[in-house]
Amino acid sequence: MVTSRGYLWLVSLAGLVLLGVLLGREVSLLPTWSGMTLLVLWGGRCLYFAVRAEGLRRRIQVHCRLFQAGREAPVLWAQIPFTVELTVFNPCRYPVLLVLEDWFAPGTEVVAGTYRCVLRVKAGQNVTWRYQRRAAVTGCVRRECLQVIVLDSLGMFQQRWRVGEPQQWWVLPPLCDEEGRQRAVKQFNQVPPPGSHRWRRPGTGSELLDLRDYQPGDPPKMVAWKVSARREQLITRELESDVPVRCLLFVDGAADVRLGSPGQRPVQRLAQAAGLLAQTAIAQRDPVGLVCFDAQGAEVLPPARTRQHLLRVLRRLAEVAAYPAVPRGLGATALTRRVWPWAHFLYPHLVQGSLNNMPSARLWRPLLDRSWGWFIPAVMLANLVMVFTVPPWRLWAAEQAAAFSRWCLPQGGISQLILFAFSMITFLIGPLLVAGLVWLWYGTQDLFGSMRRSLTQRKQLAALVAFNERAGPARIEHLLADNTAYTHALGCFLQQHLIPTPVHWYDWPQRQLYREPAKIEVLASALLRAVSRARDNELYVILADLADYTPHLLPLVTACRLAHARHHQVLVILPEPQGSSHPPSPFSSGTAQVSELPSLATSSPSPPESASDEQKLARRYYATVYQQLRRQLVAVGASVLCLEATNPLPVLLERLDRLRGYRSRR
Amino acid sequence: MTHPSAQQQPWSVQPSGEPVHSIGAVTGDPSAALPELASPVDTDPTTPVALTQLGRLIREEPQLRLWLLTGIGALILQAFYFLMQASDTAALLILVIGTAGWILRWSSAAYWILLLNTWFHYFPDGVPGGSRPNYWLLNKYGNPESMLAILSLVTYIWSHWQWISLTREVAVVPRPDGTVQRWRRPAHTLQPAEWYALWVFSLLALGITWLLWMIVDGVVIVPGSITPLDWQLPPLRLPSDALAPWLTRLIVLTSLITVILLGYRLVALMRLRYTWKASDAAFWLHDLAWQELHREWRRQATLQQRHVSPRQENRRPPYPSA
Repeated sequence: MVTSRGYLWLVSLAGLVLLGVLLGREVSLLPTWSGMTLLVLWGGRCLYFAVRAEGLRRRIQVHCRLFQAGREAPVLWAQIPFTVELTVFNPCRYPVLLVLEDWFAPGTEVVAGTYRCVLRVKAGQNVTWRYQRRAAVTGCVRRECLQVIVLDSLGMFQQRWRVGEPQQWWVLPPLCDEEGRQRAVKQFNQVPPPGSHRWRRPGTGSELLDLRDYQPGDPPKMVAWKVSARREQLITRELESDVPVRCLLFVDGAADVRLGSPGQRPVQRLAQAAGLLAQTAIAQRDPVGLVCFDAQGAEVLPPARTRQHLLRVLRRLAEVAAYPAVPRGLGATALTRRVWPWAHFLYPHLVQGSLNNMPSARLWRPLLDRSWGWFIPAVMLANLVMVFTVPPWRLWAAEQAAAFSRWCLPQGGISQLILFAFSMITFLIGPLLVAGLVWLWYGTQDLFGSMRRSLTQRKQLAALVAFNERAGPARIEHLLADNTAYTHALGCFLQQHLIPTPVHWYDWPQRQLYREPAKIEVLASALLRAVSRARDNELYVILADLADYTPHLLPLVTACRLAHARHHQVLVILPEPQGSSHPPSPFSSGTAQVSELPSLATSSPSPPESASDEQKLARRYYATVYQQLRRQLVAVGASVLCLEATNPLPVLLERLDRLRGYRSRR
Repeated sequence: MTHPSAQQQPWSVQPSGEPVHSIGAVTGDPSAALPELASPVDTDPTTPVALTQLGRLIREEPQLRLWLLTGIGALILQAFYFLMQASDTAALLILVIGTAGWILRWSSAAYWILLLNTWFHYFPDGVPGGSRPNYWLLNKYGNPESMLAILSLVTYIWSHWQWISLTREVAVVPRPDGTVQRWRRPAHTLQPAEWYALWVFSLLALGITWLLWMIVDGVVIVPGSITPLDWQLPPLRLPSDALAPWLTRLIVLTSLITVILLGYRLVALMRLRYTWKASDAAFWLHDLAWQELHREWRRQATLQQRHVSPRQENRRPPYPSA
């Protein structure tokens, strides 16, 4: 509660008063009285502040609502600003000076107004406060809390609270514009209605595909009479198929695409591109399905073309793109060091020592829990047994003590007698004393210094995690004893609060920790299952980061070959790693710069001139593996594209139009 | 009277007693565009006021002017007091350091003024061992001049910290990335009541101090006597076996402070249930349950050891599934 300014001032005044009390009226009274007056004033203000702050803490009320497009929004749309409306109500009988800071998890930016201010709220007064934010990419927006700091006007005291529970809103991918809805022009006059596409396979469409000899069983209406008369044999007409282009989107949600700063994660760009494709396809009345996969498995939304289905797809894409990766390769100590400042900032009252502390008794390290630990009490016991039951031991100790005291103090006297007594005790119960000291040293290792701090922080974090999980007190003990569970829980804490994993896109050795080759098998099996259940003219769009998996691509190549053999189209879209700029600080909640809308380019990425050497090397490596990947997949009939962050997205739409058999406007 | 810059803030203030749920209806369209803050001086409370903008801020904010004038008046009064005591150096130093502290917004100026004040009271010549008698030796229990001098010092200190809070920083909040966020108090949050509170609290503190000193200075401790505590006001002739006056004052003052602190702590503990929120209490119970659970597990493990005797390293509590 007392700030550093307050502490320093208190110490100065206490020194002054102490000096005045010691010197007293014999020298001068005024410094003493001045110091005491200021000290009394300090104490009075402290009491006044404590009473008011504690009274306010229980009563202050904060309401938060989000508006988008003029109405309260249960879900948000990316790239459209939303208004945050906060209402702070002071029900106390006195005015308060408050610092308010609305705290959102990284991933949004303030576009109008301010998210923090200093206010003086009168008694019984409501203050409504609005500002605008924007989420540039799909995922989720998490509002952690309203940070309230009650201030003393002189800066001697302050109290910081977190008011309100965390809230979360899904951010759906941006709505495509008119260009996305009407992407193609008709190549022929007689074209199928929306939702049907010509397919050059025999079917029941209206366009002529071929003429062939009549075979018994052919319907008479299919006989081409004029051609039959000309050739003097029955000829049957074959018509093209009118089928819908069923688009199945495979979106990668594995850990390696969740690395990066908010707004620049590959999974967010993939989800955004997938959302755009889904909207475009449904606008053309093509059914769209979604398969979200990672190393653990895949979830399927079967193809459909309704508006509700589109919303389901967009919602699922937002869920996939929402969270960053769980940190890997970090031990319990490193993770504690990383999580602790966030926990202290986001839950200040739940990690403070008065409410959440490690009992000192728990810091005593029990020696007898070790199998060798019984040796120490055994030594002590043996020593005691020898003292009481073996007379030669006592005799030997007395002889040694007498010799030692004579050697030290040959002149004799009372000092020699005292030395003899101490020596006697030492020789008599020396092993007991040594064993006791060893026991004491072992038991108190965790009681002081850095060990005490780290154990206390671990317990405080374990209690916080268990409380947030509503898991009961046994969970605390579990987290304290099990390192794996503890690191996993802390990783989930970071992920839940959208705190990004600080792995640079060019840090390939670190990225290896997040590789999951199992996702290739999951993807291949999902693709095979889709092919086995497919009808005609399917379009499979795989949005995944496959650059690091060229040695593991065989199952996917096989699945693509099968799809191509069944006359389906496969389009593979890879996310390019982010540009040469370093990702912004994960803490930059209010002014986070988010990337532009992801876009596509068919060319391989080239290193920028300003990039550092390791970035250039990483880009060159990426270009190499991209070419290898492209070679393998193109050989089995798949098309490969690379998402870039700078070039326009219509390249992808044009490519899809071509796959559908349309000719693009552009 | 509402300040013009306050009307352009992006928040709206409801009249007293307005129900919370009616705010949206009262304030109109929530998605309406928000006005930008107009005043370039007082917009961002996270940055100190630049020296070049200080004059403009003083012109715009009448309450700030009031505090500034109060502080300068207190400083001049201090200087007059030292001139009356014939400590010209002290008066000059206090004026120079105080004014520089206000212009350059030194936090340490208050400490320097306090130090100078103490030093020149103990050594009116400015150096130890001077021959001039101390003016204050003539005053036993205060007179109007002494009270005025103390009040001027308290007023200066209060105004100085207020000035620092308004122009530099009032709160420092640590951030998870290791940095700190510094907050300044905007000048439009100043209220006239704060200026009156200065005088009320200062006078009250001075009265309490006078009372405390009477107690501290009047008590005589005679160890070994039948009545070890005696009261002499003023202490003219102390008994021969009484403790030295400085030791008596130290004991009494320390005892008083200890009693006040312990009493405050006791009251705080008694009011714990009124200061906690429901979530705090739930967390505390959760933590307490963990401590009890651990004790039970240790007991169970000890009991198990008597009958089953498993390996010591394998004795673990029955963890729930992760």
